[in-house]
Amino acid sequence: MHLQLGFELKLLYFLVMSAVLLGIGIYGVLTRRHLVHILLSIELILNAALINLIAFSAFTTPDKMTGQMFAVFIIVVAACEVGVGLAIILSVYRKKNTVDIDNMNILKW
Amino acid sequence: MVIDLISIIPELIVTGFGLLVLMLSVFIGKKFDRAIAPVITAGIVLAIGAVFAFNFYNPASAFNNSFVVDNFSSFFRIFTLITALIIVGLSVGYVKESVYIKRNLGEFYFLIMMVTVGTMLMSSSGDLIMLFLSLELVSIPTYILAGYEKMNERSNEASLKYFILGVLASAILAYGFSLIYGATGEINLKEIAQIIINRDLLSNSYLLIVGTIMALIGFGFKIGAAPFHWWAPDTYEGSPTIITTLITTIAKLAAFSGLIRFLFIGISRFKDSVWIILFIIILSMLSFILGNFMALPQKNFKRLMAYSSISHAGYMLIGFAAATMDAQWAVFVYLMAYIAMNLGAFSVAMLVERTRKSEEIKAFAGMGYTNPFISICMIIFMISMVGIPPFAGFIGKLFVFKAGVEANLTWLVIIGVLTSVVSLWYYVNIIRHMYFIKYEGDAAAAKIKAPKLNVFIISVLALFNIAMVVVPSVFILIGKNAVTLF
Repeated sequence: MHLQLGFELKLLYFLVMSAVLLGIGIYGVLTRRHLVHILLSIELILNAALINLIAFSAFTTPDKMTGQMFAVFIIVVAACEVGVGLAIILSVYRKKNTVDIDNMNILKW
Repeated sequence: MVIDLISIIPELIVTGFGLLVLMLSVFIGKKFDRAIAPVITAGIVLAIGAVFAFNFYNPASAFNNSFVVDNFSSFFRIFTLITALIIVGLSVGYVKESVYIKRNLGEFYFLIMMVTVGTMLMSSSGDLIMLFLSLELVSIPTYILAGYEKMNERSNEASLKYFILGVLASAILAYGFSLIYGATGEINLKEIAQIIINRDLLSNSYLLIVGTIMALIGFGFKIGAAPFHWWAPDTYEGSPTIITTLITTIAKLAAFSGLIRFLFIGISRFKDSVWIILFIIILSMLSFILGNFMALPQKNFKRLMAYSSISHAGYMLIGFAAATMDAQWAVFVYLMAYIAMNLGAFSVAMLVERTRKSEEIKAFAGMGYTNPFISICMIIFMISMVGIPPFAGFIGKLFVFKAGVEANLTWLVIIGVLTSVVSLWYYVNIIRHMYFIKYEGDAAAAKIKAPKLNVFIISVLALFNIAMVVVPSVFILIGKNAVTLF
């Protein structure tokens, strides 16, 4: 990386950033009670994967574009998932008037 | 370019017919509803023909090696298409009685076709992008299908739970793939295997091991292996029965074919890493212990089948833990047996549900005397599920366990055999209900209505279950041929 930042960018910075995002995402999925928050937390994990791919692509195989290609596909898939997910959340909301995950308890054991 | 297109002709046909049905049902409207199932059937049969005509024993790789045609993919595509054909056959009567599905029939069959295409692409994927995309192509339509009964709270909840855990699994899978890409600098499965061997990465790269384990977590969610199985019972119970059948057969086939591709071709030397093997063994052990014991108190048939399919996933994972050449075809044979018996059990349960309006095990009461033929077929499926000799399940379990013993996993196999003894209790419970418990309900529903098409499908599946034991060599040959190119 040849940016005028005053310090050298390293692969490690990106990996730490994406690991932190992954951690936040998993923590969010486990603790949040609002469905949209859970969906956003999952998006964070996908974005962590995305940062990883692009960083690896730029630092380890700069002559090939495979990692960035993969990243583009992940963006597309993430968009599809959000579309379907919001539709499902909407249909749950219409029926139950709530999007709190604690109320999704008809089916258990 | 031409060779690329020839390789994907079956997928193109299935996609084309899916889109055709979608468009025609929009433009022609209700009048087209009667013709949808025949059109879809024609499409699937045509695709099977195309596999035989263009791809069988005709290895090729297309689209920059991301799509591979080899024996495994050809056999698996035919296998998937036949499963899809049976599901379409079963759906014909079912959708007529379902208010919600009847209303949007074109979309329903379109989504089923998309799941089929996803499974076919999965079995032919040659790189990580293709694996990820086809897993999503299988998953996203199944999320929608699980919630197809829009005004039914149970269906909503099933779809929601499946969606959240499924998307989480895909996200973790993507993260794992990104780490594998980082460790090897490649996305092509065969080149990944080569680089791992050249640089001895499995013993010195934690990036690769962590990535593989995260990918295994993602696949574990999709196949419903134990610590990640929590979506399965709820989704199975809440979705419409025809979709439950789809999830337990085609969606599971997709996940397993992806796992076979990923582990046996991509990380082909995964046996060198203790961590990966240990992870698979833990998954497998937890799956059959939890699956079998949790199934014991169940009263709902679909929920029971969910736990049963968790335990079957555990047995198949023994094959992955063994990781020998024999284990590879053993897993394939087990998959064939699993699909045959699961489809059979669900096709009987679907008839019971349609007549008696209940999915409880109690609803099976007394049908041994009113519907002798179907009940005998159900006995075959149930005994086959336990893995008692004269039926298909036995052949499946036998070879997987044999592969396990040969790979020095005898203790794991012993736990597997013991837990499969436990499973006898709940499978036989259904047979007990059919013969020894009197049906107390609406007298009009005492005799279960069995349309000819469904009886035909049930008897074909029962015959398949018997055939796997009468001529096991044929199926072993299919399994061996399917994995030879690995």
